[in-house]
Amino acid sequence: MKTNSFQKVLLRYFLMAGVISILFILSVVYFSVIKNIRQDVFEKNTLIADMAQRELLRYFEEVSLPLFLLKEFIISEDPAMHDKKTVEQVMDIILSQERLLQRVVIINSKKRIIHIAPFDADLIGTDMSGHAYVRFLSEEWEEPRLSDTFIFGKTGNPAAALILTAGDKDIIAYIDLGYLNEIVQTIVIGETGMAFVTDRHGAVIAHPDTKIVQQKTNIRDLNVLKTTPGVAEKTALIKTEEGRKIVSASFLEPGGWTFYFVQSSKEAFADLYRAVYSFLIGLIIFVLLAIVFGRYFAKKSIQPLIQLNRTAQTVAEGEYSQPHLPDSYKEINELGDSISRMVEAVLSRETALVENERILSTLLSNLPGAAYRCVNDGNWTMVFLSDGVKDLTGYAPDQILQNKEIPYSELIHEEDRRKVYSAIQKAISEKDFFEIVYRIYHKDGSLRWLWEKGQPIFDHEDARFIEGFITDISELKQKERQIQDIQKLEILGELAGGLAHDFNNVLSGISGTLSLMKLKKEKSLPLTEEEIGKYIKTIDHSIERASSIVQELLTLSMQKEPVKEKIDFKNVMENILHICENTLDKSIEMEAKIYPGPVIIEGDKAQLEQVLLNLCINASHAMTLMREHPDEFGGQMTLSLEPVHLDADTASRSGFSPGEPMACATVADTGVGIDDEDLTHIFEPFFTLKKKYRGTGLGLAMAESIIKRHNGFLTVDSKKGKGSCFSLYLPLLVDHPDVRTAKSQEYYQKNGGHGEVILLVDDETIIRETLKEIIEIHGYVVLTASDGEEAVEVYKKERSRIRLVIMDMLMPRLSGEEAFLKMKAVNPTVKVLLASGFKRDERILRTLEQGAAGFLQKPIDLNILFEMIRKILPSSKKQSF
Amino acid sequence: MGKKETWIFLLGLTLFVAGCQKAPVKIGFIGCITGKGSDLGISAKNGAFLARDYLNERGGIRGRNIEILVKDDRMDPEQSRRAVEELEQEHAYAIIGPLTSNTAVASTEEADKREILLMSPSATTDELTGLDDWFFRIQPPNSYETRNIAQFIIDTVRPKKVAVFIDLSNSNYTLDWYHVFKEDMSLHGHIRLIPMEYDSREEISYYSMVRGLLIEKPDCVLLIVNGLDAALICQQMDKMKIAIPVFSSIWAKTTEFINHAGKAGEGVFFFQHYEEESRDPFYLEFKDLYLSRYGVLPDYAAKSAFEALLVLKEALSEDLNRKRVKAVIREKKRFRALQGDILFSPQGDPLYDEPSPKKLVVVHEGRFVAVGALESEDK
Repeated sequence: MKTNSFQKVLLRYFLMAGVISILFILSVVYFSVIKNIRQDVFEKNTLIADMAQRELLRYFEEVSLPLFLLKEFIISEDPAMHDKKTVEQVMDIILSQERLLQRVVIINSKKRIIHIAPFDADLIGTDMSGHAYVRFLSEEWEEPRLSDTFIFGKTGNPAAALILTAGDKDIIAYIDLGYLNEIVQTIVIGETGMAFVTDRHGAVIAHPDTKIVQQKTNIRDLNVLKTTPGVAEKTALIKTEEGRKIVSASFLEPGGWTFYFVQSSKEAFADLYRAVYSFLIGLIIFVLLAIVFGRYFAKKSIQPLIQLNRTAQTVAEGEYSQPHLPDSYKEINELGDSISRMVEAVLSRETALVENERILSTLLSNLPGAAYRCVNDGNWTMVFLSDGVKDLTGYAPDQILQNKEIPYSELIHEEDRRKVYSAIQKAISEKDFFEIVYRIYHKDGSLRWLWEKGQPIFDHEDARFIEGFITDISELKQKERQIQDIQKLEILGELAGGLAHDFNNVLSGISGTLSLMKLKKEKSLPLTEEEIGKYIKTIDHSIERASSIVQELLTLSMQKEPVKEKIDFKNVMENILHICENTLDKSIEMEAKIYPGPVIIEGDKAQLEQVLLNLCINASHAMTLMREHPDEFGGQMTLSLEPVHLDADTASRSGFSPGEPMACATVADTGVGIDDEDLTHIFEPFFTLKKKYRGTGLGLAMAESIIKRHNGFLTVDSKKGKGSCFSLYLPLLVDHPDVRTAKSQEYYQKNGGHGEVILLVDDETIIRETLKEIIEIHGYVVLTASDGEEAVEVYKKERSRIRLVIMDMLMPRLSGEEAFLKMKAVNPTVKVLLASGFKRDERILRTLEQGAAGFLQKPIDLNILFEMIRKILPSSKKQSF
Repeated sequence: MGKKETWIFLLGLTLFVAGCQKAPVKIGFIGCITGKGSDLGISAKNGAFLARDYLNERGGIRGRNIEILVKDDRMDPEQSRRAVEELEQEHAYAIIGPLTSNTAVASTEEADKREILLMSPSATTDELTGLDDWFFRIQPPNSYETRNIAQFIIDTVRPKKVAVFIDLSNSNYTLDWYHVFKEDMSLHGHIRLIPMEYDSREEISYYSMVRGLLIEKPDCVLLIVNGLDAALICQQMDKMKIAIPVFSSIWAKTTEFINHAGKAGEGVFFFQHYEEESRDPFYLEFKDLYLSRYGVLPDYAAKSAFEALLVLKEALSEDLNRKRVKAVIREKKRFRALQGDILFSPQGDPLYDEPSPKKLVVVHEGRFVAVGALESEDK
């Protein structure tokens, strides 16, 4: 929308005020002055018409005088006056003296011509009763009467007649209208003022243009004036082809002729027009001056505003020193004061803002890490990076910002990118924070561990940005490793005595056997084959035992990078059980309650073994070293492992949801126990209950840290003097049907399949094989594929048999979505169940829209899985190709 | 469109509209409107002007006003011919006139050359009958009148001798009229026609002319002269007490005849192509308009000129194209007139119904009256 300029508005109002005033004045002038002028002109022209008409009449009267004389002759009682010759002589004299008259005729009572001048014998005796002027005689007019026009037979031109009645005779004098024209032509006022005469029927009988008379032009249709005697209107304005004219009429009584005086209104009202033009010119000049002065004053009026505007612009540009504003109008002064106060406030806030920014900048620069804001695109394009990124990555912020030299995503270790991406997507779908640990390549080529915490920033429902903080935990990682190493050493140290004792025993066994053999040889005592075999067996066994001990040591001391993978926790437990059986004090009785089936979790096998060993060693110490007397050494250590669903109490203590499927491994002992107060510190680093520097106090802290990084948790139940039970909980990757006690194996077999073929696709072998086993138990035939491309190939080959496809979304070579589309191209009615650890994100929704049969959230709830299978497969008709 | 363009557009539109509104349709008029014989011309001009104003009040021609450009030919063929040329150059779409036969013959030649239509209210010479030219007329040719006058004379007078006054100032009309009459009379047996030719443009003695009539002792008199001359001849006959029936061509049927003949004009017979006492509403309306405007009743010239413009208006409303007017009238043929329709032959001659007594006119008490109306009054 266009905004009006204040200056123009001011000018407009100024002009309006001025113009309205002028118009008002003009109206007053018009009605008071101009109207009077107009009236004066009308009266003047009317006067002219009246005067001319009177003159004409007077002229006719003068011309009529001889006719009156003739009349006297005719009506005279003196017979000498009636002499024909005398009368005709008088008539001739009249004609000779009056140019206006063309013919004089005397008619008798029978309307026949008795005298005529100039004499025409042919016309003597002719009947004039039909003549227009004779008909006129019956009408009452003053003498001399002026007749209507008629055609003069002799000339063929229009003529009129002066008529006098003399007794029973009538004197008719034909008027030469041409001569009348001459008289009328002398009446000229100005350049356009002219006169003309019409008869009572409107026929023009005298006009400066003789052709108009000759043609008997009739102006009766001119609806201008009422020429009937007595009507007031005598002057009016008419519109003609030549323009507007002012017409004044004056009625000639004898005969009903009308005298008209016509003048162009432009000439008649010349003075008036001059006055009007002057006014108009004055008005135009006034308007022009008003515009000029108006612009000047308007500009001057808003000058203070313009200055204020400049001040505001200066402030906007960051210059806060205000120029002195000269005093102006009250309202503008107040506005100026307000602006000044606003500037002060802005300055104060900006100063505070600058200070805050400085503090923030200082904080950020001093923080061990980098704050960031990036766009949620494929490259995580950075739009803000604090200076700390230089230490983190070796690149300055401007090298990474806007992907100028390198996108941040390319710094991330290839193996960790997927993990980072998944964590962020999970946070976006759950609208929550994310916390990830990953590796990057430093500019110097080294690998750095980073810990990042961030959150998506939403614009409506769209996650447009991600903001967070990254810090370098390489040192911490190193320290962790060191601590782990220390722990390992500690464990090794703890184990070493036992292991050394065992090793000693083993070596003693070997040494003793060899010594015996040596002694017998020295003594030349007989060695039977049986004895040799026995001795060899003992040495073999000892060597085996020694190897086993060495292997266990190696396992513990091996410097492996922690790698999470899908593992069967049962194997880990069994391994630890084996180590404990071989290394711990023999007074400790080992008991195992390990779940017979697979317990699949995701974890670092070495770290988990470290944790479990730590717990086992602690348990053994609680039953040996921590007792008062060696006589009291001994007890029972129980290792157990089972898949569980978290109960409400455990869930509430751990922050997990009730019912979460977890693998629960416990190490329970019948040792000295831990009192309640110590229990609260038990997981604190360097807190130890062991005396004589038998422990670093880092074991449990390390264990807790490791378990937390496995998305699990540690709990401890203990009673002083009775013993302790340490439980570690780790998320199950595949829920185990045995945990659900509600339904029996029989149930699943009853409600299971009947040999229908299902294609199972997952790039994780452990999941693929575990699920295959489970599904097959339920009566289905399972084909597998380890990635999308293989899945498509298998499907193409076996499509006639395959009734259902269960497919992971995230796979190498071909994603679940892409594989689905290819299968759909082969068979538009293919049934595919999607599986993903992510909640339903865009890809899943898109694939569902494109026709996928359903979605399974990982970890897969087998109840839900089989429910969906049962729902789909009965409706899946056998495809025929 | 910006402000400037808007103003320019509005200005152009205003000028265009103004221009469109102001351009009138020009129609020419040729007739003798001054001097001797001007009575016919002035009547015809008045009729044409009345028609102009009547039609303009009703939208003119395609929304455009009619403008009449008047040319005075003073009954002179050369002036008439020049008037055609001038009117064509002044972009007239058609011409009403000329009014007399001699001027019509001269003008037709010019009109043919320039392809501009002449619609004559009153030229009746048979010289122009049946020709494919640019001359059209409202009045039927002389033969229509002569045949009927001849029949009437035979029926009423059964003459053996007929004195015929012939004004040679309009010889194309008068001589043609006389010859056709002569042929018509010859069909009724042997009747002697005594022609008395004169030229009204010269000084004449009506007394001498009429006196010559006495010698011949005709049974009736036929006037093929203008109205003024007819009146003066009747006056002389009245003075000499020659009381024989007088018949006249339509040329003399004017207000001036009434004015100048007086009682001497009573009983003079005329034959015309329309009914004097018609009750046709359009005709009555026309008479009222004419009387209120000009103060006198319209004569045949005024009526025919009015009808001439009616025909031109209808034709030009169909196709406003000067060169197409003739073709349009030929194609359309029938046009609304003051008493019924006028039907045109392809050559532009009007075709009227057979005569009736209502078309016979006599001067009675100073006015023209249909013979039929008189007879019914008598009854």
